[in-house]
Amino acid sequence: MRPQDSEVDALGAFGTAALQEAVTDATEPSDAELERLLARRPWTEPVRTSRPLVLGGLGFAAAASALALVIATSAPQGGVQPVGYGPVAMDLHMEQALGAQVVELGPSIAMSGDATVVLDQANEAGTTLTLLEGRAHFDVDPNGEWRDLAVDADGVIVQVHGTVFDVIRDGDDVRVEVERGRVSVTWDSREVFVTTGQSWDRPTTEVAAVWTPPSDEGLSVDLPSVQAQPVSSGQQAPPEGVADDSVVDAVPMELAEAVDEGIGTDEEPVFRVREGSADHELAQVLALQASGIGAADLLVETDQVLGRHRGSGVGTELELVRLQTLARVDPNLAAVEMADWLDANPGASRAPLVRFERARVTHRALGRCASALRDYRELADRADDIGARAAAGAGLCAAELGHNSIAERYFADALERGITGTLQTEVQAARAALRD
Amino acid sequence: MALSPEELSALTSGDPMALDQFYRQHARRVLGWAIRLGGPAVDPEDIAHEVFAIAFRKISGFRGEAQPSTWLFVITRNVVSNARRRAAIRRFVGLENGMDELPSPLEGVDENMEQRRRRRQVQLALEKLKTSQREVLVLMDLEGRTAPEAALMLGVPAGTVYSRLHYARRAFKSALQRNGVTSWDTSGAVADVGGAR
Repeated sequence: MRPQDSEVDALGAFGTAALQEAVTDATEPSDAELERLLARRPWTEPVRTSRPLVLGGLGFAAAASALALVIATSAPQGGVQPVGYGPVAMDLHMEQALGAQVVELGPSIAMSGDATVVLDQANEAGTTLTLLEGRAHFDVDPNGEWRDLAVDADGVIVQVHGTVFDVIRDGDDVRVEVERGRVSVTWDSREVFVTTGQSWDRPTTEVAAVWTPPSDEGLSVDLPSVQAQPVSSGQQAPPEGVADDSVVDAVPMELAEAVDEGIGTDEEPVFRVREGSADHELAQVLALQASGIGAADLLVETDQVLGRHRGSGVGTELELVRLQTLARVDPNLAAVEMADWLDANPGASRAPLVRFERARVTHRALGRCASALRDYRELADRADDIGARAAAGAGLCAAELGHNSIAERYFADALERGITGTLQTEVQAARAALRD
Repeated sequence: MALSPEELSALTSGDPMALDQFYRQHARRVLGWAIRLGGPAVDPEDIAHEVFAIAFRKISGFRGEAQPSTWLFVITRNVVSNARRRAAIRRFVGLENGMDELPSPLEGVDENMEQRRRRRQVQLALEKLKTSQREVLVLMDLEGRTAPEAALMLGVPAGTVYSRLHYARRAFKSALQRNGVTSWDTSGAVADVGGAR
């Protein structure tokens, strides 16, 4: 029998109406928070423009412009009429041989090779085609429109959202070779991910490959043991100049297993993250960031995932990872992109963090103290950790520019606010140098 | 309050003035849900922003059969759930420590330190509840909705709401005591009672 209203009332958690009111008030939005939110006006969000990738740049544009050949114009059956980029360069549902030509399958997919294929669908919902025979090469822009592509080669489904790869079919033999990025290969209800420089052959016998988890050195969490996974066979050395992605792939796969088990502790809720979900992909990227892998590898991986999630909450998290990582690879471009991000997201709560990162890269990597000082000084007014670190940065920049009295004030402020670690040491040394 | 046919028509057709009015009318409520349901590890303004971004993307499909607040609450629940999961992932991979890493706009110098501390104490107490219990307690005890109203918003029978509220209050009372909230000076003066930080 369920409790009645009067019984429920008697079970009040607060004891007094005054405490109930105080608890309610404590979680009421403040006027300042409300004003900030209202200023954001979500229906007038600026359109985010995709930018060219720094690493793993696509050969798509070149490929598409080189030998684009329009075979025929045909509206997808039951699909969305292609608009805005020119015709899909193949008939639907017809067996066609590729010659020495690059065929545009929408605005983001270029196909070439010596192969016979059937195009099943090509519209903004995705492009699907069947590889009947031969080798087909695909170049998919991870940031472009209509980038979802699935290739069916005798029941082996290769799915991508932006990468460069080949699928080869010779009778029953199917092989996938990835030049850049990562593709999902599904066959017989099994799935593997094949990454840059790797190839995969459909097993002819059911031999379960045993995957040895990589060292988790650098990971700050204890990860449970990992189930054996079907893995790519015939792995080849990555092409010269391309980073070996084995770590890039392996660490998040390991994490993904842990995430699937649920994350959390007795003290907090346990969250389940569905395999293949946006959160799952975010977890993979964050695990990479936490693992301390090279910035170039992390940037490639982040860009790929970001291409699928722009505009969402996951996308925002990924944008932050990308900007932080880009700062390690190309500080000039990072500063420009951070400025763009701040222009596009003026009211975002992450804006102070991005602004601090911009100040830091401008100061540390580019040596432009005057520019950095402006950001630092405004951020130093904040009462949080960003403010304290910005005060330290303002002091260092002011000292470098010869504004000694200003530097001294910021140094004192930063130290009083409890900066720690190497930043504390640096500030103390700079302060001592000033006094000398 | 239900929308009039004219208001609904203006909203679903994307009339900027109607959208602005709708936004202003519901922003505080959604922000409050984000604070109370999201907990200390997520940014309430980002949550609320995303809720409205989703709402306005889908508004052409809103038929007005449900109260706008009910519709927004359903969206908020989903957005909060996603944000909490992402925050948990960041903690899991070691990118955030505990629940105090995310810089909050409330940390600005213009905000009241005591208000911030109190909010955090309540949020930490709310974290001790199961999600289903937290939702009921927030809707009924912190927002003063009736059980039938809460049942409608949560999509469960009223009996379930009563049952959840019963257990939610018991857990919340215990959590408030542990966090020092029950020793707050509620006479209007601010007392330094310590509690969880």
